[in-house]
Amino acid sequence: MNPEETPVTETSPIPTNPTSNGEYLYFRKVLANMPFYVNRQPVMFEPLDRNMGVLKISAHDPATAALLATAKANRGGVVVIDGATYEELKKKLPFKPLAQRLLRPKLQVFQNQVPRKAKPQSEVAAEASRISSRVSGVDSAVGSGTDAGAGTQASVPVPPPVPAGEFRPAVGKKNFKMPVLKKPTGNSLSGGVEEPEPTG
Amino acid sequence: MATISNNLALSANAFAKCAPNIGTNIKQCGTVGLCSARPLTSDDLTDAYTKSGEYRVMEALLMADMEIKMCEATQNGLYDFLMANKVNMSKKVIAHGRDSGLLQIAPFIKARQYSPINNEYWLFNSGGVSGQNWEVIVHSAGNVPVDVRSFPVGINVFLNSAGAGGAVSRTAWKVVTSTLEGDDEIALVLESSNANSNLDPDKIDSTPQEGYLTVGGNNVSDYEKECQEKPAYMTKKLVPFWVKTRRYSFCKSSKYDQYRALMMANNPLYREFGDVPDIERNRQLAMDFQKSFVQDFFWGKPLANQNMADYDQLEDITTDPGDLYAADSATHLGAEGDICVGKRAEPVGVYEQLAECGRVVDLLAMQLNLPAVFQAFYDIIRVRSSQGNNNRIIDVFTDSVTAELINRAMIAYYASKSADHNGDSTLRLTMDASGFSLAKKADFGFLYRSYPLFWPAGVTMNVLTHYAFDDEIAVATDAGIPDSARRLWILDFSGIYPGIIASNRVVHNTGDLKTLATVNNDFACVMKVHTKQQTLNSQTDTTIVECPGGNLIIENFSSEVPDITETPGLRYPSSTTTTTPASPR
Repeated sequence: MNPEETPVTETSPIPTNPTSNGEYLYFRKVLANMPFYVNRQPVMFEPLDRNMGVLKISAHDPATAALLATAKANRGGVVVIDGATYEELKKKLPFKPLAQRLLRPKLQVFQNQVPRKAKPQSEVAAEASRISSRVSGVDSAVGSGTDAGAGTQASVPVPPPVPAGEFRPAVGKKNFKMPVLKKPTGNSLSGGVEEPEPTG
Repeated sequence: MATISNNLALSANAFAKCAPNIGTNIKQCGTVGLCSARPLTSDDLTDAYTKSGEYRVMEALLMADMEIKMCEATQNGLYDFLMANKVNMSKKVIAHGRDSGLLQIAPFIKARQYSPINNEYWLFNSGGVSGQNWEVIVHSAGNVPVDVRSFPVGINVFLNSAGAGGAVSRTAWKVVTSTLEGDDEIALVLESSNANSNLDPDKIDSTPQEGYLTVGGNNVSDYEKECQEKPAYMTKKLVPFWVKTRRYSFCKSSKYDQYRALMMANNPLYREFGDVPDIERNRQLAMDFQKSFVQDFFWGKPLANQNMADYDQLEDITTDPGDLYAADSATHLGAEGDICVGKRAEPVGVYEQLAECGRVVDLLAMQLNLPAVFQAFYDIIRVRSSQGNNNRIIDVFTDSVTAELINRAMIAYYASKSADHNGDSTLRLTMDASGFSLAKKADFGFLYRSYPLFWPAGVTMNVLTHYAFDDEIAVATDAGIPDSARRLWILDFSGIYPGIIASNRVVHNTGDLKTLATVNNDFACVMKVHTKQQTLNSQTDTTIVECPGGNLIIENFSSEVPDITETPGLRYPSSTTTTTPASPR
């Protein structure tokens, strides 16, 4: 096999002599998430997979001398490579932006909808139509914890018909009142408690 | 017959003042017996007791006239460091599956932990026109998943963005629709509520492109129909900590005891240089067990398939299929062999657990930057305070040289905060030597210096030193990689400890003559046998790091005085999942 065709892997020997290629120098960055600074400005390596970076830089760039000195001192995660290795690394270890090493932790959404009493099918369809015409997504039970299909609108789920009386919540009191922080006063808009409408 | 010549070789250092003298003892079981003791023969006597025709003085060299203290530096390791920190190395953990056998096939314990609900802020971008309204794409700035229920129709949202000319824009909007967009994003169509704002027009950006938003409430009369419900979040998790059993053993042989007794009585050289008393041997073995335990505690790495998805494919632990349970029934006496008794896991060490959460920072032999360290302090304080730990003193463990370099950097840091109008520092160190030059001694024996910081406000950095760090740097320097051992450990040991699940000790006495005679007729004709006493000690444990986010390891930096200059974008670690602001410049 032609040595130039040897595939580059993480364990491939890295040439230690800079090949200027006339105009450019090439570098590899170990632990690319730890930036390398020259004059307090980060040197922007091209990100690759496995937390690696590569850089093609003009031999006349002001940062080049610092990069070479750092690589020679075996510091800063800067390693000199040649142009072929640079191209091969880019080809073999393309950057995967979605493959985050440290995923941001996410909570799950509690699906707090309970089964509802079945409605006639016609009524269900009419209600779904009415809601979807008003707004999409509202009252949806679909959270990101479930795969709702990327790039699609959240659909309003149509409650499946369930046998009547299947869900019977156990309620201790018939006349359940929400707790109030203070007693209703005359200034309350509704008086706190709804007055029964006069009859007769 | 086994020889013990290696142990017999008396080092020249046995009589040296400035060099160490250390050797290993004789293995007590299965090496020497009475026949290893060589009584003098008639031919030996002349050589042993005379030299050049004169009688020898025999024991003068082997008797100590007085005892003085050790005169070599004791190498400190992580065990000494943990002991100095009073880390409880025997904290008991009750594992539910221990007795049922579950722990054997699922070799981990689980700790229940809760996550905070960080939904105060949301990020938005991609602002654009949507009919008569404005649409933005929203995703969480914290840790909550998106759900259209988080933005019910009619609710207020408040958008913060940069307006024209750098003016800050703070606008209010009412949600018209919310649509799940995938990739943890929601498209919000918003109706402006800014027509009657008192702000200058330039502070009301009617087309905000990107920024952050907060969520307000709705505006619904009791007579109106409104039943929209916001999502609740499941915040509970079970964090696994992997478990293994480790063992150390020692053996005591009646054959060796006989040999030792003979030698102690008749050979002064053996008595002085050839024997390690049992008590000392047991102490050393127990200490070695503890030290190796601590090394595992810090550096242990997970085995293949050691994760919650594949742990059923961990390596099987089987009863020994070799000699112990050979097919020959006379050998194993009915004990069943080659049976899987569990799965093998390795407790994941502190270092790996921190690395799993991005809390190990390798500076690649470059200079330490103190403002980036202070930024890390801020993250740590936020995490620790969420655990109920509101202590604003941060302990940083390091070697004594780095501590002094930090000391110099901190003097420069204080000076940099007191520049006059010419930029010259007005700080004058006219204090007595107790300020920066003298270290204090902590209750546990650590030497430390304290540095109150300007930012984060109210935080004091304690830089503590321990010989364990010095000794590792010394070794790393010998190995040609000194920077690799230079480190700052910002660890809170109240949440880092080993969990001891079980311990076991079995002492076997072999060679019970009556039992031997029961199973083997030949022993019925024997009156005495040599016996062994085998002691086995085991411990089943795990390594617990309750909250990696409240800890940080910064390592592999140079021996330069740390930099005190703010460097834009430089953080330790380089990415963070906390709500950290940029530190002040």
